[in-house]
Formats: sequence, C-alpha cells, structure tokens
Amino acid sequence: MRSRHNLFSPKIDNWLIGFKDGADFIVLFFKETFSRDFEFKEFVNQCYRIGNSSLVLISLTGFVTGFVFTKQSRPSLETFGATSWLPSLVTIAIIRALAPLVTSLICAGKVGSSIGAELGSMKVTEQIDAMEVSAVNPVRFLVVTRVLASTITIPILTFYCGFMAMTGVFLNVSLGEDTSFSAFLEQAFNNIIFLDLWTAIIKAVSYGFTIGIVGCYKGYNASNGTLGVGKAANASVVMSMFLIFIEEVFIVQVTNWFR
Amino acid sequence: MANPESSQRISAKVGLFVVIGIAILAASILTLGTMRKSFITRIDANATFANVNGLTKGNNVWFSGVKVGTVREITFTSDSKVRVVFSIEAESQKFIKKDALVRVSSDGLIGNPIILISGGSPSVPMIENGHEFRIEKEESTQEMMKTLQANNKNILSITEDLKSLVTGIRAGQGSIGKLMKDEAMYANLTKSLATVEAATRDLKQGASGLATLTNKLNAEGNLVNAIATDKEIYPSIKTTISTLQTTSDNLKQASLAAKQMVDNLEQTSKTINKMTTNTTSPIGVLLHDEKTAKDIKETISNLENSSEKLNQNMEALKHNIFFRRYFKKQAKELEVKKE
Repeated sequence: MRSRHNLFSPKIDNWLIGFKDGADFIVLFFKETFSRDFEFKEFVNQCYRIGNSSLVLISLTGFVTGFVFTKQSRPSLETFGATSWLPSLVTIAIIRALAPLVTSLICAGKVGSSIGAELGSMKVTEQIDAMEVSAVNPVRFLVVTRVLASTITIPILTFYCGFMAMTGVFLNVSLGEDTSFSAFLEQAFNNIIFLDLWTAIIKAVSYGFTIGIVGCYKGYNASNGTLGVGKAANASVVMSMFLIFIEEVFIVQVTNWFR
Repeated sequence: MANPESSQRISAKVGLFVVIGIAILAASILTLGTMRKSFITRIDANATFANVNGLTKGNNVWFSGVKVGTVREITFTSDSKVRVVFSIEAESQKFIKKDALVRVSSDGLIGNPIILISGGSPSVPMIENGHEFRIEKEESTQEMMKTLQANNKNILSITEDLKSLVTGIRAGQGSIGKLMKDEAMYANLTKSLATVEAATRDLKQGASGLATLTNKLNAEGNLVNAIATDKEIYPSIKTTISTLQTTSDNLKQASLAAKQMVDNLEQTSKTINKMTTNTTSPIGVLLHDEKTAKDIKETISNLENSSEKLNQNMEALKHNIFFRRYFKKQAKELEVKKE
C-alpha cells in the first residue's frame, strides 16, 4: 500500500528525487560558475591533474585503438579489393566517434572515479562542512573548478587521442600497403569535413561536462563513511559511462541533421 | 486543516517533472529528424516492375542524381509483377515530366537499391498525383554477361589478327615489314626525318622571329600599336585626310586658274609680239623707226634743258621781292608740319 508521504513508492520516489537533486546540482553549478569570484588557480591545477593523469593511458589506448581497428577492418575491405579506402574509412570512424568515446570512457574511469572519491572522502570527513564554516564556498572551489577543468581538458585529450590513433592507423597501413606518409594523409583526410571536427568537439565537451558533474555530484552527496566514498567513486564511473552512451545517441542524431 | 505535503513528496514530484522533461526532449530529438520530412508535401506515383532486386519500403527515389522521394509500398499484382508505390516531393514534381522512365538501380557499386527516374521532354506536362511511370528496359546481369562474352570473342579474333600481322611484319612482309627489315629504306627515312627536323627548326626560328616582330609591333609606343589601339588617332587621321582632300581640290582650282592666267599671258604676249613686229603700229614705230627715236631723244634733251632753266627761274623767283614772302611762309608751314 502506498504511504501518505510517498508519491508512488519509496524506491520510485527516491529514484525521482535523485533526478531532482541532480537537476538542482546542475543549476547550482551554473549559478556558481557565473558568479563573480572564480577560483582560477584551482581551476588550472585541476586542468593539469586531469590532463596529466590521463595522458599516458590515453596515448596507449588511442594508439592501440587505431592500430587494431585498422587491422580488423582490412579483411572486409580486401574482399572488395578496396584496401586503399582503409585510411579514409578508419579516419572517419576515429574523428567522428572513436576518439571522443574512447577518451571519455578512459577519463570516466580515471578522472570520474578520482573526483567522486576525492569529494566523497571530503564529504564524509566533514571537510566540506568545514569549508562552509570557514566562509569558503565549497561548490565554487571544489565543483565549479573540477567540472570546468574536465569540460575543457577532455576535448584536448580527445584530439590527442585522435592523433595517437592516427599514428597507429599509419603504422598498420604502412606495414600492410607500404603507403607513403603524404599519400596516407591525402587519403585519410580527403573525406573529413569541418562538421566532423565540430561533432568531435561537441561530443568531447558534453562528455567532459558529464564526467565532471557526475563525479562531483556523487562525491558531494556521499554518505555512510568510507563505504560511501567507494560507492560514490563507483557510482560516478558507472553513471558517467551510462550517460556518455546516451548522449552519443542524441548527439549523433542532432549532428546528422546538418549532414 | 489540510495536511501540508511532505518535502519528500514534493521532491519526488519535481523529479518526475524532470524525468518527463528529459523524456520529451529525448523523444523530440529522436523523432525530429524523420518529422522534418513529414511536413513536406508529397505526391504518389506508381510503377510496375518484373523484378525489383530487393527494393524495400523506405528506399530512396532519385531523379537526375537527386533524392526526390521514398518507396512507400510494394505489392504483387495479379500477373505476378511487382507494383511499387513511391512518394515524390511536391517541390520536385514540376521537373519530372510524364514521359520520364523509371528503373530499379543502386546508389553505388554495392549500395542500396533505389528507384531511378530519368529522361522526360521539356514540352511534356509534369506528372500528377497517381501517375503511372513507364519502365525503362533494364539490362540484367545475364544480358551484361552475354554482351561481355561477345566482347571477349571479338577481342580474341582481334588478337589473332594482330598475331598474324606481327608475324608478317617480323618476316619482312608488307610496307611496315620492309620498313623494319630494309636497311636502304631505313637510311632514306632517317635522311627524310633529318630534313624534316631541319625544316621544323627553320620554321621554329621563323615563327620565333615572327613572334618577336609581332611583340615589337604590339609594344606600347610603337606606331602600329598606336594606330591599332589609340582611339583618338583614327578620327585625327580621318580629319587630316579630309583636309588634304579639300587642299587638293583648292590646288586643283588654283592650278586651273594659273593655267588660264598663263593662257591669257601667252595671248597677251602674242598680241604684244605682233604689235612690236608691226612697223606701222605706234609701238612698232617707236621700236623700229630710227628717225622717230632720234626725235624723241632730242625732245628729251630739250626737256632736260628746259627743266634746268625752269629751276634757275624758280630760284630767281624765290629771291624776288614780290614772291619772297610767299616762299618764306611756305617754308614755315613745312617746318610746322614736320614738328
């Protein structure tokens, strides 16, 4: 039987309240972002931490993605005798989809969990409360800087990942077809248009914002001591990845209107 | 007194509102792409094919390489043919004429099947809703293979001919064979080629000289260039020629007048000549009669003497008491006039 205090049931209500709290948190973030005082130093520090911590992982992942994707695509194209299309085919896939997606998934694991755990531990050890008491706005100092840093750094990492993936593609193509570097560049970027780059940027910005805001939200609302910290870190990764895939569907749909 | 709603209930309501909002946004994003096409006015057209090669609902309809519609319905007819109903955008309707033909094609080498509309005369009216297109004769794969087989046979026959031709050439038969085998002919050909080469070189030099001359003539400041390009010089030349024509006419008139004058002078000269040769005329007498000449000479001598004496008389008259005053007065008047 439905309780008087609940709209549907406690479980469904809690799920709906989660949406409301998430929306509130996003509104709070924008409100604090456009306020006068901006923690620029902390923002730069977070940009460095996010970029630096993910650089090696993204380099390796990007390179392997490009190399393996090319290797896997070759047999299909060989059936039609169209291996010369390999650079352009793989480049389109990397620029339009793989680079933003791979980068954001790596960052969701690396950066999202880090933000969730960091803010979660600060929350459960009442450091955030202490900041409030000492007249430091915790949202402005902790949330705004981290969300903006991930929103800006992840697009940069995306292009770096794309570059590394293209290196992997070139290595595989030059090993397989003995293609020169200039011929590879000509074939690879012949079919890339400005809209493809814009799509990649839009995706990377959206995914960066998602990773930052989800990590901060989960960490900022952590509870139940050290167990809560782990749950916050885990939830931020799972939720970020889930939202990234959902966003992918909608961004592809929207950008395809302009094609 | 009504119970105030619990804050958890309000939060759940707000959450529900957020979920519904997100759902509406997501649904509109996903459907807007296809809905955009729903707002376009379309007309229906039909065509009946013997074979549609895997054409399905939603496949594209192209006209002159532009997508103008989609396949809406595919059904079998009573005579086991396939009837395809497809919609065409009303914007493209005016370009598609009633005598246009359709066929099932593909949008690439291994692409999706499409309906291809082609042809149509400009004088024929545009299609209307429910128009039944005529089918363009399709080349099936088997027919293509048959054509290819015929081509192969032709190529085989050509290569056999080529083979026998090359064998003959190698054996030194025919003109080309002789050319390849005969040393004398080769030498003659080499000489001819050398001559042709020399002639070509000369021709090239001539062409180069002509080009240089043309460049010089075309160079700015050159007379020919100035005449050819200057818009002011032509009217000026025209005016000058016109003036020269007028001057020439005047000169012609002047020469006629001069000729007439010369004629008159000749006539006068003849008359004078006649008069001078006639001893009876006054001039003839003056010129030829010695006595008359002597008389005239004496008369002139007498006149000189008389004149000298008259001068003396006049000088004496100046000193005469009666006339002295008159001459003084006259001298004074002369001085006043000079001043």
